[in-house]
Amino acid sequence: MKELRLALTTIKIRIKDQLHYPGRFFTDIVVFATRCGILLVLYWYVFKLRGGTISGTTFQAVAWSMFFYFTFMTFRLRDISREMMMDVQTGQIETLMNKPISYLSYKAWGRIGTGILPMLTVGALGATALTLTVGAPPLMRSAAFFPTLALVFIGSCSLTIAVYTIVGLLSFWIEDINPVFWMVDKAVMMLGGSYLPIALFPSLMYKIAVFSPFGASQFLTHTAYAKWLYEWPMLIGIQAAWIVLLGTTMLIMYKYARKTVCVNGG
Amino acid sequence: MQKSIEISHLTKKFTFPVKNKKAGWVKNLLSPEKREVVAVSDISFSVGAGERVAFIGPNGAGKSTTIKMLTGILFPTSGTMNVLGYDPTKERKKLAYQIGTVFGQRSQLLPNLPLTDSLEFFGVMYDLTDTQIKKRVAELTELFSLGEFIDQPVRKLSLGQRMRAEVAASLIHKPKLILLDEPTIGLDVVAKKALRDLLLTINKEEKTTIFLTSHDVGDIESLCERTIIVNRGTVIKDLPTADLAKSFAFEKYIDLIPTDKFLSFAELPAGIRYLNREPNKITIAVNTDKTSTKDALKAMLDLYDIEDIDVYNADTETVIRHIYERTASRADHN
Amino acid sequence: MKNDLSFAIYAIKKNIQGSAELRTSFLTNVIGMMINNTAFILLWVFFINAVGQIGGWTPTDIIGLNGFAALTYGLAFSTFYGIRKMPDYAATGAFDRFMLSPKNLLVRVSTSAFSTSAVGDVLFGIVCLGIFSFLIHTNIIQLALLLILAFAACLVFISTIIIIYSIGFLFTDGNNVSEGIFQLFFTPAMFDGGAYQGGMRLIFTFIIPSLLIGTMPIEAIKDLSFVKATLVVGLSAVWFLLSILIFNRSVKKYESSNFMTFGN
Repeated sequence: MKELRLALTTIKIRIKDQLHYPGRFFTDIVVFATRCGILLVLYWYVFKLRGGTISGTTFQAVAWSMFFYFTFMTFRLRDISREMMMDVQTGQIETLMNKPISYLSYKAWGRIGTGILPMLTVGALGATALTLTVGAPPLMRSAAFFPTLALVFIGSCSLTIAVYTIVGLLSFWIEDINPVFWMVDKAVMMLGGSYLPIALFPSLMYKIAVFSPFGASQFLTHTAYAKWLYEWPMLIGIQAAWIVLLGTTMLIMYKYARKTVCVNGG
Repeated sequence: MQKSIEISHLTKKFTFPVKNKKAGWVKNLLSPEKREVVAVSDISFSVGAGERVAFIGPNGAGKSTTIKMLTGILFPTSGTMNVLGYDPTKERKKLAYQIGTVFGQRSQLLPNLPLTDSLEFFGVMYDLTDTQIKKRVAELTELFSLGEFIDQPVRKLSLGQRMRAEVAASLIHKPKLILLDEPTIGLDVVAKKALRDLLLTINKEEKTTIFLTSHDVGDIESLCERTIIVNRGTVIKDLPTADLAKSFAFEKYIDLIPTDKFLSFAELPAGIRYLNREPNKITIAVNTDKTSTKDALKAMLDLYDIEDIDVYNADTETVIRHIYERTASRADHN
Repeated sequence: MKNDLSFAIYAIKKNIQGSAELRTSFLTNVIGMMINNTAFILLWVFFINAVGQIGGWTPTDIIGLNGFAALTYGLAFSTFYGIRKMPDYAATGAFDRFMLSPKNLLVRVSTSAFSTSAVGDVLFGIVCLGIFSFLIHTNIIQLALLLILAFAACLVFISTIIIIYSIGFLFTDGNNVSEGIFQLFFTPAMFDGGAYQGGMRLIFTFIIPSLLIGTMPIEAIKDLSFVKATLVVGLSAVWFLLSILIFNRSVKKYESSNFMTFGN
């Protein structure tokens, strides 16, 4: 109960922070929506040149898949790594470590709070625009769609936080985690279907996308394809397995990380 | 008296890799040399509930390291700690509910939002109910005179306002112990006095133990009844602040005002030296290890035609400086 | 002017020396970035395999495009990384010390920081352009064009980032805004150039100069199109002048903050 209250308050505070400077908030939304829009227009042109389908996939499915990717990206959960690195480098971590809160959960709720409003806004606007332009894929009318979408969304959030928190925790031992961050981030981007939709992956790359934690953290993008309706138990199961494994790793790492804190000042 | 803090043989060592210029970079990468720095070396002391203690020392003495161990941020290399009945290394969270912290050079407040949001957030963090938060915020607003700027974004506040806000936020949950690391740094004299008075009020009304590190002698003299001095990681002295000047005063200062003017300045006997020589005033320092104040006065009255005399002790800042310099030279000698 | 340029070179040299001191970090950053960029090329190779050639763009052209993109990114951010930090400087009040410096403000700020990882981008870019040149069997004119257009593309890139990151002065905590707009500019620059036709091509040439840093230089070189080459060079000068104007205007909006580290 206490944890929930703190989580909700943290989220509320971060949302308030976003709204306090509406100019920044709106520009953020516009920029993200435009990035997604540009890629979708480019892919629309590519699909048009190829007669509407590529490798058995329609532009409609690809559009929704990429839209899910970019909407999830507006959550900016990945920024937890850099935030943690800055906390350690600047010594700001000491102001959090003497509080009766879990540093990791505070950081996670903080990131959720920062990203939730832009994500919901982009999601609502984008979904409306896509429905009006390309239409909703038939699978979205199935009864299983929305419940499984919610499940995989929660799984994606949890796994993304676990992956990027592990990267962030490395900053307790390595001064500059940026090279690690890029490699992980690039793996997530590629295997998540950002620049190249997952439906167009060669078979080996698709397998890596499905079984690796980087691809599994972006399973939201799989929900746009018809095979989601029979694949979802396996994919959510893979997500759950990675969440347990990486979540445990994260907690163990944090336990050792705390002991290595070395903040400037004598 | 119940103890707020009890530490015994506390030591903290930091190790870091050092580049060996003679070895290649591969060796430096795979098997670097390590250097050990002892930040805190075998210190022991206790602080009673409701006490106001200054924990001072020159830069690099180990003050901040000690405070960070007491709050559970850093883990000691050896030794034991008991803060309000908790071991900070094992019960950090439980301890955190009982303490407040203020770091002079680091803010804990939310920069973009009004102060009210930070206070509310802190209240939730310490599990206060909404009613308790409201009441406590009202109390702190009155006590710290936050009303004039409580609705402003924190980043727009002046430094003095911000430090008042930081201290107020750290007291939202009525902690039993408040640890302050250079809280008056950068503040003007008026702001400093205001902050000190507030801390004294908190100590008096809520019986909060105050444990403070500061380079400001005014903080020590006006706020703390007891002073612990550390240097190079060890405790040098632990005594009432009032005794500080007395214990280490091996110099007396005398101001001499002439009947007319001082036209020339005579050579002084051993143990006496000029600090200031002007036609209208002479200031001398008397080394009481070598000569008594009485003999020094006799000598000066013999040398000059004097109308007025002012005899006084070294100020606290000078005393503290002497202590730091003495222990540094002793350590170098060893 | 000469004074400012020599100061800029001096500052860059010092930045490089400082970064190279931490050899391990330097190497991991450089190598990490090269691996990072190689992944992008693989992605686009998969794209072409799945989708086929579009607008006459081959995998060789993709290598060249990535070479230009990496080179311009790397040169801009390695030597002038301070530009990217401008919103941060503005938010924390750290911009004060630059304004007090007796040197050209833009030169002083842009050379205030150095990105080690961007060196990896530079190396990667050079390797890719080398491979591209080899695969298309460049003649001497194409080689000359490559060098001129690489310079022009860099100028476009630097000018654009000056404009983008100057926006940081207009917002409190404008780092996110600037980064978002940067992605808006840079992401399309790395996309298969053949997909840009009609209105999209006009927008990304004249309004958002994404195509000027890769697509158009590649097309100019492989087709030996002096029209496209002139367009790139001409627009690079225009963007440069615009960036100076916008930077100077934006600096007037700067509000210094009190020093104190804030966190979340």
